[in-house]
Amino acid sequence: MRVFYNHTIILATIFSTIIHFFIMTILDTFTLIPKTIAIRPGILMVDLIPLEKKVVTPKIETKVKEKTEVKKEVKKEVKKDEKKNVKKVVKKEVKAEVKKEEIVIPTKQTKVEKEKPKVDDEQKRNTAIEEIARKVAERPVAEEPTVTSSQLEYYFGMVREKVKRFWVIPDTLSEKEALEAVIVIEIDKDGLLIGSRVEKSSGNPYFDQSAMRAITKAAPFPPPLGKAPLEIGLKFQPN
Amino acid sequence: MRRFKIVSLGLSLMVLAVFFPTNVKGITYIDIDSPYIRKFYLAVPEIRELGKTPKEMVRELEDALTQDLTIADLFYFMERERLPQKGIYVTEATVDFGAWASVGAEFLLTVALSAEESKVMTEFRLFDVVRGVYIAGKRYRGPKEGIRLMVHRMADEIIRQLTGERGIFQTRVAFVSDKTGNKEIYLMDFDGHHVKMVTDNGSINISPAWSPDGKSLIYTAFLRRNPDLYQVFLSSKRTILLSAITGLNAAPAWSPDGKKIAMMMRGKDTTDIYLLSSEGKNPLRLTRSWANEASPTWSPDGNSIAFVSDRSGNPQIYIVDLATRKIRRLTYYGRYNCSPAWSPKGDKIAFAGQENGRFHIFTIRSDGTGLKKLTGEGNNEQPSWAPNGRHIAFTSTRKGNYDIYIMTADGGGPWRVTTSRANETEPAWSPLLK
Repeated sequence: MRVFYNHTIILATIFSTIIHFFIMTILDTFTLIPKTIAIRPGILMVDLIPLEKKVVTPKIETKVKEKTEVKKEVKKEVKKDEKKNVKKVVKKEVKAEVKKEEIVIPTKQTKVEKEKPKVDDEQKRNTAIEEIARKVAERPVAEEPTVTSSQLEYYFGMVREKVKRFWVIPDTLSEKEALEAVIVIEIDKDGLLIGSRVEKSSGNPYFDQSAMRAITKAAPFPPPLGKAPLEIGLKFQPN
Repeated sequence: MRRFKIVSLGLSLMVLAVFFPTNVKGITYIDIDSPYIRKFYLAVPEIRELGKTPKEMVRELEDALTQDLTIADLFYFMERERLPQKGIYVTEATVDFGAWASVGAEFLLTVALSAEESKVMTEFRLFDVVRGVYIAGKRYRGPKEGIRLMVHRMADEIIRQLTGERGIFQTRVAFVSDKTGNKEIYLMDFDGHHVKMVTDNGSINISPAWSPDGKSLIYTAFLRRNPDLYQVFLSSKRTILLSAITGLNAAPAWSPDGKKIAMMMRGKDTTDIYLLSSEGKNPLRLTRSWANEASPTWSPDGNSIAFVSDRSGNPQIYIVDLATRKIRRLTYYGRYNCSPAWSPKGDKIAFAGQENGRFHIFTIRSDGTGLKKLTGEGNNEQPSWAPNGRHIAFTSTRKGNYDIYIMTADGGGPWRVTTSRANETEPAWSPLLK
């Protein structure tokens, strides 16, 4: 009886996975679905989870996998704990690195008031952040070839923060209502920007240009974790 | 064990599909929000003179261009010593974007000037250094005296190329000056140059207001002892009497569609706001109260009028909705608020308010929130918006007598534009002129 019960669970999980894969494959390969429907604008509105919360190193992943036999609740708890620890570690690392180079990472975006451009600082800051990001990002690739969702989330979070830091608009554009541009960028295995295209123009060329400038300034990006070149859609929206 | 690996892989992929929206092509979308709202870093190397161009002319061009681009309030100027190339005129063939980007420039503007006898030729090239793109270049030719006008055109073009907005550098300001001993109406460029007399009748001429097409002014004059409303066409200086109702025809304001004129007239015992046709006919009383109403200003959509009323016991600013005639009070701060001016963008109303015995320019949003004081020294009165809604002209006594100043809509500047020993008051910034 007990054996039968266990088998049911395993079979059900496998079947469910297969069905999900099947559905996703259909969605991804069904060319007859018109483009406009396929892009599903509603889905684009999902907000990203803040950067720090999603830092994971490969160590935990293997541990979690070993413990999959444990009941689901326990697994979740362990994961949480491990995540917390790792978050701390990475945070510490970032802090230490920052201290080493005596660079301040702004926690909030503030208006630039100074008349002189602080390009040197900006560049230093960016290279420092980039290095840390790269270190953290490289680790999983080295030890575990499968890219996990949280790693990918972390990667996208980094790209997002980087582009955001370079996005500048004049006050003439800031008051305009509901401007939104979607630009798709292509990143090669080294993180270099190898292509960009405007997928959806805001209708205001000056706004689109500000987005393109942000991308150009933000490049190069951290090397992608999985397949390269990687395409990412950036949705620029002031508010 | 292997089975579990597969399961966990499947699970993690599913989680991924939920957290990051992915379209059919497998592209993940990321939201980018909260941009920096700041000025652009603009590199302007020294103006290159081609041929034998007099030094004063180069300086005049330089001064005018610096003035316009400073007032535009869109740029940080890069220090010239730090620029990678000096004294050159960069063209799209010779531009080295990397060098300019390495010093932090976001845009590059180079200007050349050449003069032949009485003719002047000037041209500019504008580059987007970050994207590595040549944006635009234009050449202007004209007489020597027109060099400022050429610079204004150039500045307007640069603003248009970078923001898509029309610049204000070819606009004019009407104002009242007593330099002849009488209050007469004058016109000047927005920067105080090219002053021209509009009225010259020895009477008292006040409250100039622009027609929306920028071709004529209406104003109040005491030519026939009664304060009457006149219209003067600027190209021909032809003047016509619009309204001469006994009592008062004062503080006119043209509606944005040009079909109506709002004006202060005497009712039974007090002054009220009236609406007239653009020919000055059919006065229609808009406000009815035992209190005095004055200084109407139209919202840019033409649906409301802000005005001053002392119905609360002291002068405050109120807004009347023209469709419903409903009146609401806008200002509660201070005991004396007057001369409202509605921004052409529609969001804000500028006014003069008394604080510690002196008048200052304030702005407030049309819903009554966001009160902001813009001036600090002297008495500052009679604000008038530039057509771009980003600048305000006003009159101030900070240097002794009344002079006209301009500032940005958040109080940046201000720049003094009249310097005579007479009193210059009541600035009225023109609409965009063709």
